[in-house]
Amino acid sequence: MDNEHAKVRASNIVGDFVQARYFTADARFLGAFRIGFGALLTWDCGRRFAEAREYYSNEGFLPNHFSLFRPMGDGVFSFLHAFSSLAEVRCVMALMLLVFVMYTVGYRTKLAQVLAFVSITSLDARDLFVENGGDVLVNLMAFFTLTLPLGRRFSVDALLASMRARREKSPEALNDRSRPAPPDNAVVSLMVALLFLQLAVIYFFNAVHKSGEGWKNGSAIWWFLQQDRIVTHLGVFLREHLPYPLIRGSGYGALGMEFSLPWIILFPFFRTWAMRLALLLGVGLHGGIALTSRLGPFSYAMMLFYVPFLGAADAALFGRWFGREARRRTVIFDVDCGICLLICRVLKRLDPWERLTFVGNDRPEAFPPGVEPGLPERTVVVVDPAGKVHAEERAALEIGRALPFGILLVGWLAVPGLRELGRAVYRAVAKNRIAISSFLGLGACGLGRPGGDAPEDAPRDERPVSWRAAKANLTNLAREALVAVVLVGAVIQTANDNQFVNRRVRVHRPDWVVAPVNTFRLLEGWGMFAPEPPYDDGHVVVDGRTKDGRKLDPFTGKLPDFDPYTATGWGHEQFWCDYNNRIRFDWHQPNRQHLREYLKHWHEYYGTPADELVGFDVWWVGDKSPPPGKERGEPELPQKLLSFGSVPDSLAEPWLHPKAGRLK
Amino acid sequence: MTAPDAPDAPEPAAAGEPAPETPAVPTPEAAPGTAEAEQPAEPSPEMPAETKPAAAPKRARQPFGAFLRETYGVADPRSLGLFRIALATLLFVDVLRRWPDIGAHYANTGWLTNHFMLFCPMSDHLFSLYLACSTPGEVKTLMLFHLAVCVLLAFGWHTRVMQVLAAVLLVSINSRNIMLENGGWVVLTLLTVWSMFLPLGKRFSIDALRASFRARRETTVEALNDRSAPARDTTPVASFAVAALILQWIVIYYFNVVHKTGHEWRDGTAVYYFFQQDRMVTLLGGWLRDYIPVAGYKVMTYSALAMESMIALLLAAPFRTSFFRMVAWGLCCALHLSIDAVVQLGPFSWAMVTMFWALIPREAWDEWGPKLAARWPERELCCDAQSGFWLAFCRVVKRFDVLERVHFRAVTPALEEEAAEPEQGEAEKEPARPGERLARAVGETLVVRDPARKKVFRGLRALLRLGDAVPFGAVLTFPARLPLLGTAIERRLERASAQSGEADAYFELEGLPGSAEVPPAEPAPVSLFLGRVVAVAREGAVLLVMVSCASQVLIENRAVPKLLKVEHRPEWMASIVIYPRLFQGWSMFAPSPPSDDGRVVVDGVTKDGRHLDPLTGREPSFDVQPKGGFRMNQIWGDFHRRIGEQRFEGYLDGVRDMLRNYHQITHRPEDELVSFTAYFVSEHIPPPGGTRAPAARRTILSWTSDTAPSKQPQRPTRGRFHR
Repeated sequence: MDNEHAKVRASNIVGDFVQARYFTADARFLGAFRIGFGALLTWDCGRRFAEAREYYSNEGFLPNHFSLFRPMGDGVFSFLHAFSSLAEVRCVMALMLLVFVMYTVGYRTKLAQVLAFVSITSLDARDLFVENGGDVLVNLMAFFTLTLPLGRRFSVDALLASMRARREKSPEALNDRSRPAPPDNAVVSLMVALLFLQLAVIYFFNAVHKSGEGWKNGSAIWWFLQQDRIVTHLGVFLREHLPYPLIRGSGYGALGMEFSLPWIILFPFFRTWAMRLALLLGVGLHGGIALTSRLGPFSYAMMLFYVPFLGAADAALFGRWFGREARRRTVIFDVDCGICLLICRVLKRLDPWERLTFVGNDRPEAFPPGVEPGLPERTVVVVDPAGKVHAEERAALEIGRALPFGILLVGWLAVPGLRELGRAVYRAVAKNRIAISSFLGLGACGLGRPGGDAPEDAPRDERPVSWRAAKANLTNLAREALVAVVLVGAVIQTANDNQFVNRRVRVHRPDWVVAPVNTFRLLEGWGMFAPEPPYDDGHVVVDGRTKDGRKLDPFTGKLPDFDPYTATGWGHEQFWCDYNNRIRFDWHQPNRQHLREYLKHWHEYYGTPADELVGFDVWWVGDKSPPPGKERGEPELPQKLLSFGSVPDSLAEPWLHPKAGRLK
Repeated sequence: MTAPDAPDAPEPAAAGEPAPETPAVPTPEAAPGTAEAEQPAEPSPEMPAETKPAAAPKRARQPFGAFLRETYGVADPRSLGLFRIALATLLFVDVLRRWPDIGAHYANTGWLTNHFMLFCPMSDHLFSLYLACSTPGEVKTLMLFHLAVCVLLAFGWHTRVMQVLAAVLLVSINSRNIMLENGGWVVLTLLTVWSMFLPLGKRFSIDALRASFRARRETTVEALNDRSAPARDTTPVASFAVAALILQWIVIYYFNVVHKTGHEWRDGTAVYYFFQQDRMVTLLGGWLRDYIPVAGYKVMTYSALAMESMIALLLAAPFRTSFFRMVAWGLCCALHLSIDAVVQLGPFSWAMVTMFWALIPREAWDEWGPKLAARWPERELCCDAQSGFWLAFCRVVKRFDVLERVHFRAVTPALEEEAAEPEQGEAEKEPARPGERLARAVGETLVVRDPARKKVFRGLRALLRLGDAVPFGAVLTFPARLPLLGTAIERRLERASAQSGEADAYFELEGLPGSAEVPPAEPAPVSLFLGRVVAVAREGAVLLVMVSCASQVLIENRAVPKLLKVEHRPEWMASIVIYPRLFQGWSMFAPSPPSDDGRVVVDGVTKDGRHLDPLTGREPSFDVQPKGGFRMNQIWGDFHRRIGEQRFEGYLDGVRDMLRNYHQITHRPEDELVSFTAYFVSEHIPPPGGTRAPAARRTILSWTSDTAPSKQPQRPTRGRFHR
């Protein structure tokens, strides 16, 4: 109903044409986006949880007091600054994980959206050493989707609302798919247009800022693949085996895609096909990047960015697949069993293409041919279109096959061994189904729950004039006004952050733009690997001496290796890679004391007392990447970042004097 | 959970069905017919497994446990509801009073930046969400959220969540700057943390209101007049947390008495010294101290000691607890409110008094409730029983009418045609009878009758008179007294009566009148089971905190014999006590009251050559005995007292930076200081009648602009690296 009102308003302003193309999203794909984005947030938090000691606690590389004393960004704010010890940090991160799981499954979605936004921005801002474009993109996506109804479809909230809307009590009610009516799928909001613009802006500025020679001569991808810090094994394989012209071609191809995608995304005609093309190109571009490099959440977030733009036509495509006749099943269940009825009610809601038909075990005349009369008394029975009868755990598997993505939940029942386990569990539950139903208060043996056996609610008619409509109108108005303010702020910030604009127009950022942008890290500068791809590469090497006199690099667990050449890449994950890359800069000189403290205590965290480092030098070891046609780059002189104790037999010595012939 | 006032005997359980959870078996302690017998302690989920009402034979075997539970472990939900409102109000005021001092004490513009507090924490196990906030703007944002939580707690909206949030935020704001912490903060934290385990939202809350609406959906006037359902919850709440609160207050008073061993307490002059504390004394205290004779001080000293002792004894008394606890409350009010009138101790006095709201006995409610109700006016609300809107209105009124002074009467409104003027030529009709007039009025607006005075009120006046019959009704109907809003409400009332069908449609209430009432579903066994699990876990948590606090009592109090002193305790126990600042050392003004007093005076020189004390905004004054005291609040009082102490020397760099930036805080460039010296000025307080020695002056900090001013706050030269 609120969407109807929003549609009318938007029509008056921009007309149906623009509204349908740029202001409308499909609630089903918003739900799908929520699941994907929530999974990304959960994964992101999980990897931070695993490395909490190094990057988020006071035992690590950046204690909270120093992050606040010498902030790496203006107006940095993070709730994680309030937590010092590893245990405290892990506790709060566990809470954040819970929030992200809530977000993914869509439980109290609006609250979860707000909490997830605060959580992810806090995680990012706590340690800007490891922030990259992917983190900023995730912040922006969490922010821009705050006002969208991500929980309207495919969420626990939607499921519960639907279960409340109609309490079916019979197979006939279960088979009546007209009620409860699914929520309106059309979501009309200015925020949808803002999302379109955001995606287009990312590609546009990333393209126009790539003005360096490396991009012009097509060698950019070559240099990109030479980054041993970030390259994956596949990337290494490709750089060794792909002919250079193909690499050049992919460089031009990437640039071409970045140039063309904004126009495709905003193209006003053939929207369905334009967005499908954009999705294809986007997945190709970012999927390729994700397969060949470790850039954190950037590639995955970019691919997810397309999901909200899919529409009813795309849903129909899914419908063609999931709604095939071959997926039809007849489910015969025990009508006197409360938990059976509850499961059927849930199945009805998980079955948008109406592939399941429910039959009560009290109506043998309605059974499909081939079903033994006594069988449905003992077990749930599923009959497939070929007339094959399935019972027990096989029935559950068949139901999973009929439901969209249901096989992901019950596919394990097809695995020998697990299948027997599933059967045993099924039999135990089936045997005690009456007791379980009573325990859960669901009614059993045809008796309803005491006091709660109300008749089915009558359908609620939609009214144009009611307090609900008035409330929805007011909420929509306030929301759209807020989005309009956000749009203005985003435009100002984009103009400020991108050289392509700010060298032409100077934009003054008012405080109301600066404060939220800094606090929540909603930056809009897009210039990844621009204007030039990186031509050099390196990493941190610790030349350490343990208490028992061994040489050890605690970050590799091996002898310190000063050779910048590697045939396989260094295998760094994104955090370590970014920390390595930044700690070498002079601006971070004051932050190196914490690396020293960490290394002094390293053995307490991961090693044995014998691993205690009594002296160490920390070096930046790098090289100039090899030009096309060459395998090895030109090593640079190692740069000492910090020292502790004395390291008399430094392994860096031969690399510091290469011309003296000491380098083998 | 609700329970009827007089539960029927349980029906025998059918075969295969779970047995009833609450056997209404009278206990040996509570004879049939007494209030306790009528209202057995709630079975679940609010009761731990250990304290569940058991079957009679079992109770007979454990009379002492049951006795302890009844005596020290039970509270009335109505009392807890009032306690929640009082506590939330106190928490709100406690946060609000800090608002003016954000810049000086809670943000990086002040003397204690968040990064320095984290770098060199004043205590182990320090946790504060406020430490994440750097600028005054950030602190204010979090504080606004904090205030909102207090308001929502007072209203009882999602009470459990708000209780936890209020406790976390209170600990956070206290831990942000623990140099300012005093006994009042600790007591308030204890009160909030202990009560976090109690169901404070069972009565007088939005949660209770919503639960009541869910419990019964009245569809007729008869149902509205049936006050037996939904029953208002009067089931006593049994929890270790109640015992913890009582025990905590006994501990506070006991140790405060036994630690007062100084000669000033023995010779009766302690209160005299108390009055001489210019940092703390209020305007009234400053005035009174000039007039109170020594004998008066002695009376006050001894009576304070006697009252503290009495309160501890009365709270511990195992018999006539209802009476003794109310006497203790009276003594507590007399003691603490008089203290608060003459000195500022932060929230201490108010927190001490607030706890007793939770101890109002059910006998008081049972006895005073009907008496109060009898004094309240009766009203008859005449409504159109066929209108969903007016039925819903009556449902709301019924929930607020806790004294049951409003009677609902169905009146069929007269249609407009019936009330129309006679046409010309038509014979004049007889004057309308009272019933007809009432019917016509109901068709036009809200109608309320006063049966005692036999008067009928209409429209806005009816609403106001209806408010008279409801406790705090004047507050609820206050918007109707406002000029414009009142008119709007009156028009809405008229419209809802004249076009009730439209109102019903707008609020989707057409189906309400006369529809069948659906009894609320009985809780499923799984809900009861989960409730029990949660209750056991909660009571286990209370016990854990109690044990940890007990260890802290033994550690911190001098009066505890050495034999009982805890030498070593597990780290987790220390964490439970120190993270939320649940300290247990109780020796306020003990063993002796402070015999000296002082404050920090900054002699600053501004750019234009004036002398200025940035802490007062005036010319520096070294007077240590001003008439009426220093006139500073508790926060500033504790700052002045402690910042000069050696243990806080490491934090003086922050004070220097704050004084240097004084002109930026006040936005007065002309006040920029080019040099300053901060002194701790103190005096020794002579005995009564003695002569005052000259004030002593100690330099604690000095700075001149020539000594390498730095734009960034300096790192400390001392302090430890917090790992």
